[in-house]
Amino acid sequence: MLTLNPGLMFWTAITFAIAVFVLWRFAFGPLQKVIEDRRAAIAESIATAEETRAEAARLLAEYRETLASVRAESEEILERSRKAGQSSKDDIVEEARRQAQRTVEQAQEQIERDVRAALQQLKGEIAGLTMAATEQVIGKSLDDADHRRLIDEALSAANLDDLELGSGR
Amino acid sequence: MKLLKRIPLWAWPVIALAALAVLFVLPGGVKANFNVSNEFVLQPVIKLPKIGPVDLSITKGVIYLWVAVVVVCLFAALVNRGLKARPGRLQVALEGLYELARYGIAGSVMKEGSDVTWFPYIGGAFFFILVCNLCGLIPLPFGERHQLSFYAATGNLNVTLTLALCTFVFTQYAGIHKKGAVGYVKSWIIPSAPPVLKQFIFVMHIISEFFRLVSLSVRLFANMLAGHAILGVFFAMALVFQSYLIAVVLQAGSVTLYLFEIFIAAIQAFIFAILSAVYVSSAIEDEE
Amino acid sequence: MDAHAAKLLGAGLAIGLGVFGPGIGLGSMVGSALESIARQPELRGEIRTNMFIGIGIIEALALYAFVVSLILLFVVK
Repeated sequence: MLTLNPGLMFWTAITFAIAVFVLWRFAFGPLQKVIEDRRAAIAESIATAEETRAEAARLLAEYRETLASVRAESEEILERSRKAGQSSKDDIVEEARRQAQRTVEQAQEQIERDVRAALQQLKGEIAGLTMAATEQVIGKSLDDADHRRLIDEALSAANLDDLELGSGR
Repeated sequence: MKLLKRIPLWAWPVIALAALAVLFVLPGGVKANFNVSNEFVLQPVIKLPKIGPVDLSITKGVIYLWVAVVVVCLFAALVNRGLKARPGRLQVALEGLYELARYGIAGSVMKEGSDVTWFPYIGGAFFFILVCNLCGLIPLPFGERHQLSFYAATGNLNVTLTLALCTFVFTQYAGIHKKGAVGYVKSWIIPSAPPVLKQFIFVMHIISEFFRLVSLSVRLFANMLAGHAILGVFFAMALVFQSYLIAVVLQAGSVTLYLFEIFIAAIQAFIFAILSAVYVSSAIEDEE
Repeated sequence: MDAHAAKLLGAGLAIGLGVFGPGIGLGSMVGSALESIARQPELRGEIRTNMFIGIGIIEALALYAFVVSLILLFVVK
């Protein structure tokens, strides 16, 4: 094993050359290609994933924005309709109030008118009655001047002005 | 077939090793006067005529070399045909070995560019020596009396010296190719050294070049030889002692050693390839 | 002591003493390589590569002793 053996050296050189040549020409190329292809494929899929993620983030932001704007819009519509409802309610209430007031005023006017008419009538009747009663009592007819004076006295005694004032609101 | 599939994957190497151990022991017969050094004697299996001093006879070592080449060519054919984008188990293993050689050895030692140029040699040496070392652990029937015995081709100094000579020649070629013959020889001398030392450095460099040759060849040779000698002693000790107890105990020990030798085979191939890469790149690259 | 015994003794001494130094060297080498890997795990590949180069060079010394002992055993008559 320590002696020089040129034959073995020759065979070693031959076999070593064959092995290196075969590996070089037939094995290393495909292996390198497979490894580089895989590396490229991995890099590409990472890039694609990155792209997809960016796209997804972009879409998400877009959707979020859209959602926010839609929400604001709906808020605004709601607000506007609420305002419109409020104002129409106010209008109706105001109208009703005015109508009621008008009705009340009309009623008061009517009452006043009625009261005044009634007072007028009352005055006439009181004068007539007073004249009849006085005729009967005195037994004689008074002249027209006396009549007037007497009626006025009676009326002031009956204090009908107070009555008239009390019929107010 | 069903029965074979039921055997778990991890059991296969164990079965193989057990079979090897049995095979190694059985045909040896009763041979009490075992001498390890006989295992390394190369007797011609097929006699061929001598051409001058070159004896081309096919010996055990030559057969193991051819076995290694056949295995290398089989793997090359396998790689050339059946690589897939989605790798199987074998392909992952081969790709891992390739990446170790390409990026772990050539890529990490040499500079960008020269690693592509020199990878075919470095990688070829790595795979050839790896396969040689591992094939050396397969017993073939080429012993003295045609019994099964194993022999590593790389366990012979002539083989490793030839491999180291290849690295040596390629180193010189790379240096001359890169810097020109004069520039290469000049690059051995450190320009800033004083003139008295320059001759000394020159001589030292030449000596170290040849010492690299010696260390590269002797390292691989001695490792494989020592491993096989120890394995041979362990396997044969049962025959020497002729005791079943010692046989059982030593067989367990020798199986462990066998596994360790697989590790050593891989490590030595790695070291040879990486030192070749270091030497070649030291010839190419400019040193300070 | 006859020549044969001296040869055997020399072979044993050669490998025994020759392994002594490289053993210490390998221990310190691998130890500090592991230490630096533990300190800087990101440089693992580079450290491992250089460690193997160093191991190869140191181990060669022990193997010279081995070869010398082989020569003593089988070559020296």
